[in-house]
Amino acid sequence: MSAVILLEVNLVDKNGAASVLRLCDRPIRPFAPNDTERPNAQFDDRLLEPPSIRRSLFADLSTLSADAGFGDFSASNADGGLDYLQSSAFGKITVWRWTAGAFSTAQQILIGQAAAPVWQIDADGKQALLVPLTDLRGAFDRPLQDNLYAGTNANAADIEGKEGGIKGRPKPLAFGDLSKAHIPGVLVNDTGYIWQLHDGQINGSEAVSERGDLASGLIDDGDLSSSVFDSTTPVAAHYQMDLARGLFKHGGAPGPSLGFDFLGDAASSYSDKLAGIAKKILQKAGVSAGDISADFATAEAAATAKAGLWISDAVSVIAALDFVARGDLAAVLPDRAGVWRWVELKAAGGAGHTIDFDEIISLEADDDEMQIPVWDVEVLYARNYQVLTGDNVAPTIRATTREEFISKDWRLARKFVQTTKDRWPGARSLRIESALIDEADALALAARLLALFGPRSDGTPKQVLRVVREQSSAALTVDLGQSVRVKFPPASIDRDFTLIEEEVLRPDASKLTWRLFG
Amino acid sequence: MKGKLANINLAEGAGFSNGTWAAALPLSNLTDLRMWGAPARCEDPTDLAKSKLDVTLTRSAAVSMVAILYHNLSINAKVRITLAGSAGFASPANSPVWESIWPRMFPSTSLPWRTSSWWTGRPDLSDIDLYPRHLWLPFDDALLANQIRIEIDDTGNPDGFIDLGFLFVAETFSPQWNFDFGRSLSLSNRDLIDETPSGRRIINQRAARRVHSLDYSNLSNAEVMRIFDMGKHNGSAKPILFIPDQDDRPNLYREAFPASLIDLPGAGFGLATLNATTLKLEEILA
Repeated sequence: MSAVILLEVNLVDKNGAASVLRLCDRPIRPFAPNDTERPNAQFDDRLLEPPSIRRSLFADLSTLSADAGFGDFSASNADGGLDYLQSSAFGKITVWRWTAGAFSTAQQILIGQAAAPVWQIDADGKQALLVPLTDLRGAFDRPLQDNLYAGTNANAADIEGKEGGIKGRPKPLAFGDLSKAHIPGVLVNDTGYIWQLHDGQINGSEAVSERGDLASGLIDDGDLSSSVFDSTTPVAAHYQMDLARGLFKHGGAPGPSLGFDFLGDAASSYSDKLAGIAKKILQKAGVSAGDISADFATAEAAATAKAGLWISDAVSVIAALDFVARGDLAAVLPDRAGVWRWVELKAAGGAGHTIDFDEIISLEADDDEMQIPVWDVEVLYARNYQVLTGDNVAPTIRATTREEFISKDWRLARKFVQTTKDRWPGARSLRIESALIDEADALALAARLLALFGPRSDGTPKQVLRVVREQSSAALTVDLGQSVRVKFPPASIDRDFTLIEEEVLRPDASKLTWRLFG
Repeated sequence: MKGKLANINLAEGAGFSNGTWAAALPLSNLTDLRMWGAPARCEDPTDLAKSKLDVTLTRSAAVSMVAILYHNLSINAKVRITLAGSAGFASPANSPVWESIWPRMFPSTSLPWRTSSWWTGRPDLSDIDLYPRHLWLPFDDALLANQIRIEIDDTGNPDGFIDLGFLFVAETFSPQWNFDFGRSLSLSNRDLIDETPSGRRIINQRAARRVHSLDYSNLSNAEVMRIFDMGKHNGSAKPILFIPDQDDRPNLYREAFPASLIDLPGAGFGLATLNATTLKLEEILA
């Protein structure tokens, strides 16, 4: 027999009691009493449409933006056998592919989060349960920062802002190298002259500018403990730091438009590498260490490009991850087992998986904008978080490179291939914002983008293929971002592609749908 | 031997007791229509005190067959059935004996010499496992009983546990005149087949469904109405048992299976004993 699809849904009933609904797509005997993971567990064979989630490296490859994967499953309720679940909330959904033996031999192929179930009722038809689901990114379409200012300031040492002021605003988050970022900070006490740069420990190395001028003359009284920071006030033209809380206190009334350059989050460790920052964001979002793969540490160790990110408003977790990862042409997403991965989008090639002609059930070229070659790439880098122009700029830096820096929010690194534009007048331009801070790194990223989205080395434009193939154990060893060689003689295809999207158990339980680019 | 039909399960609503059965898979599962997926399970078949059960019917009834469906009893398993009335198991209605559940099926002389089962005339596991395992325990005559004790000796079960998928206690019914010649047994292919552009067929294998089709043309009014009642009573949900020939042991495991009526039988009326009906019995696979 072919593989059995096993599904478990975590449920919570109206009284708060937790339980697990177990479903499968063909009858199986309950697991053995001595099964280490599911002793005597029964799976009810009433799955109609097995669950699937469309997982993509990028929702929109032209902007390298990500989104959660979506899907659903349905189960027969023709006999009303599931009606007892109508008052239950559906939670985590896990799906395995199993053939025989102990439950531990089952191959996990999907993990997701259920949305509100739909109880399909039709007086003339059969009743069914339809459960929409998202991958784990679905739960991360929420602000990264859930720690908000309470607005309870009563004296000059308080740091929660005031009613009618910053109350309810998220506390700022600073990651990586912000030593050129000209951060405005958040004024959390306007009588004690306290600014917050980060909600937590920062690495320091701060520099303070007034109206853009770094030679502000302010004297650093050093990093103080939180209790000393709260109980002391620097004299005029001095300042003191509380790195543990990311706080800055100015002695006396400050000049206009303070700007802060510093190194960000240093809770447990400091990182100015993209993968390291992404890992910190995942940790901040509540992902446990065991659910973060070693990819992040590997990519961080291999990286040379520096990056920084400051968030002062309600940016979603997905958007923050997306912004950071695109600086390395990568995506951050959970794998089939729910472990978060750092996946670089590379040009296809090298040893990889092969789909032979006789393994392809259907193949079609996707009509996708990605197939139009890119001739021009602009990478925005070294963001200035506080733009100052005109009279807001200190006279001492006018007509200098410093003024040029603080008067624009982004720097621009550009790479283009004119011959591509000449050959394809409709060739695309690409412009992306990045967390990179150095021009050389931004230019390198532009070059990688140009190579990836430009024409192939033989001068032909790249393609996006949608392939339906048998869902086998071998196929499930291939994950997003990996190289796949496709052999399809009727269309003269025998080349490497990169797997950019997969949908397991679609169009049906024995098949797998892939989107490939290359 | 005439074909036997049974559509009313006397075990429905019965009380179950005795033995030691898994809390997660209790004896009440014996009447759960999910036969394969929701069995009653004895986790320790090495202790005969644990692998037995008592069934207390809702009323005294004439019992002519006990069927245990979708079990995992091994080739060496034995079973002992005791029927009892109000006097209790101390005064059984039958003569209980331990019976091998896979007794001799073939005369040794009909088997090639050196066949592994030449001496025993029993089937190989590879033969049996083509089909789900069912146990048919008929009685020569219907016996009035309201209690049934089922004892199982399968201490060497290779799974290490015993699963009993479904219990069917029946008073079987055989019309005076058997079904017509021309009865058919077929397999309904449920595989999902895709053909790739290369011509290769990729097949999602699923268990094939056995289908019996048979006609009765010589039924009395009472007989045809009894079969008509089957459709009303069972619909498509409740299982029906049909055993074409209880004595044809070599083919019993191929031909006898729990079935559903997807097309409900009608009644065609003719002369006194020339009433007719058609049965199409589709195997229950779950």
